[in-house]
Amino acid sequence: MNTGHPLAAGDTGFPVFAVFAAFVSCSLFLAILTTSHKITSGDFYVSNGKLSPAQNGIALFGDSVSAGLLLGAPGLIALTGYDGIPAFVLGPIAASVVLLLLVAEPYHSTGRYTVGDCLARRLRPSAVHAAAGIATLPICLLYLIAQLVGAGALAGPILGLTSPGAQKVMVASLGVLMILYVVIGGMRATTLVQLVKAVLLIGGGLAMAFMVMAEVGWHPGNLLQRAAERSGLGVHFLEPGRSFGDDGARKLDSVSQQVAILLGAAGLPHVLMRLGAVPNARAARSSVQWAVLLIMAFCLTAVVLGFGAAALVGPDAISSDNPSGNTATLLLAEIVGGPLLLTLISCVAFTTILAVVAGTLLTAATSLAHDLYQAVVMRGRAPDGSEVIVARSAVVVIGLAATLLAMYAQGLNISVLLGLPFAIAASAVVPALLYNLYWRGFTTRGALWAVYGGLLSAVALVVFSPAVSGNPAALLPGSDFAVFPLRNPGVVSIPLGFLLGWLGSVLDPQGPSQAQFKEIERSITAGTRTG
Amino acid sequence: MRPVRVVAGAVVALFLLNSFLVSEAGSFMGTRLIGPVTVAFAFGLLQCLIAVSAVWWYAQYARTYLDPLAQRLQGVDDGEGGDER
Repeated sequence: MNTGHPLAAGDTGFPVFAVFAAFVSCSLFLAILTTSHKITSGDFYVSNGKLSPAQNGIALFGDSVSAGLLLGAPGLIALTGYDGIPAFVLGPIAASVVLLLLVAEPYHSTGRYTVGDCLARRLRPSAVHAAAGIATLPICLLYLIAQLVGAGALAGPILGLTSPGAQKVMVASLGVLMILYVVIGGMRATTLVQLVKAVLLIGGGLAMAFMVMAEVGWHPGNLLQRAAERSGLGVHFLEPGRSFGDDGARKLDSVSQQVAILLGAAGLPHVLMRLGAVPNARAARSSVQWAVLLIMAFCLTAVVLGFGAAALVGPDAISSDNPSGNTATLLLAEIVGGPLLLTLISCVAFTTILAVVAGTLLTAATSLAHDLYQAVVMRGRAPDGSEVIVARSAVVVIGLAATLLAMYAQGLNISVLLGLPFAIAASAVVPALLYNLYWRGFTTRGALWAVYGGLLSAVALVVFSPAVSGNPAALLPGSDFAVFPLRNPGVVSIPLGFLLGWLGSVLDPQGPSQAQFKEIERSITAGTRTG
Repeated sequence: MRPVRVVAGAVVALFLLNSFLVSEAGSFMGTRLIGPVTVAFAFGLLQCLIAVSAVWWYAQYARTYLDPLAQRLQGVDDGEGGDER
């Protein structure tokens, strides 16, 4: 019954569409209902910091689990066994612990909406706002494009839309929905979708994991055994390093990807922005605690689903349906739960994409309006009302740009876009952020060198990597200018970002401002934004 | 703040050690312990357990050491009339 035939798209396409449409219109209606007419910038960006820790923590979990993680992690585990685990299971868990211990409370106490706000507490405001904005926009834009292209690719197996034109229509309608949500409801609406998605995600994931475990008699060893047998490789399926063998560059590439996910996931701007949506540092702490536990639960579920897919669907059937394994979760849902579970999981996948792109779009617009327009162009003197207008226009402009680029990129191999936002965040944002919160000697020049150096090196190394050119599976298969051997630049660009931040600070003729660092330390200890 | 940084550093170091071992000592990590479970799986499970205990430890630590300190500082701020939130 399960020997590589594609999903029964014709049977499930309509229910998925109906359920998803009903969900979307209900939540859009709620978003409009909860929006007040006179909206301030704080309201639009972070709900005035009035979310409860539990709400915000669940939404933070939603922000951290993209469709890439929901569909990609089980798929990769099903195809490669252990090798999917370090980057997609252990990485997000370790990253969320770092976020809790090192970032959440100090970030809440020193920043307001953007990374630029946090840096501007002790460094030259216009310069660091500009740098933060210039780094945030490409991270968000790349992330948006990758998610939207993923949505188009999902339209094939789920809704039966296999023609490129129909997939472009799918991307366009999701893009328009995303813009509508964010323009109308800002952070309130984004949080609402994120909450619904998180509940569906945990509910659907756990239900499926239980069914898989029931199938193998509630014995984890049994699950691994059956996955190994079905793979045709026996116990070798469970050994690490099978997917990269003895190839030195691919080994280093895998390490590079893991490090980029570890640090990048703790420094993605849309994750950081959500830390500001609660009233105080203690609430920021407990929302990240919620998020860590949920992320852990989800990642372990993903392991069960991955090996479940290998055991019950089989790696051959999965890779013949989709070479990257992204439909493994859906194939598994059809086998263990029939059309009903498949419909549910498909809705979860679309809702996940909608929720994540809405949060990312809001962050990009906030950075454009707050960092670049308000702090750099208007030197902080623009009235609040006009900042909100700029933010809303930015939502439309950035949203349209991302949607159009995603429609254009449909059909290209965009796997490079999935890793790049993490690598940029880890190389450009995280060094500046950690130095800013913890290092007395950090200066404006150090921040600028770290942010621009990390951003440029990460982007340049990817452009000259085999992910972009030089082989048939690249983004531009026709050209060849791949002089850098790794697909993920993290292992070079992250240390470079930290090094430049240190070097720039040491070489800054102005030296660090001791008084302002004292003030930051005091804010962090007191857990309030005033010193 | 120091012990917090040490614990965070330990979680990161353990993760990096795992990455290093998987790429450089694949045959050791592939050794089977019980049934189909390899050293790599056990190490992954250990990391999850350590992450959970780090979260639990931090909740305790923050409640006993960080919160009282914050309250005292906020009290001083209130006395000076300088607390906006």
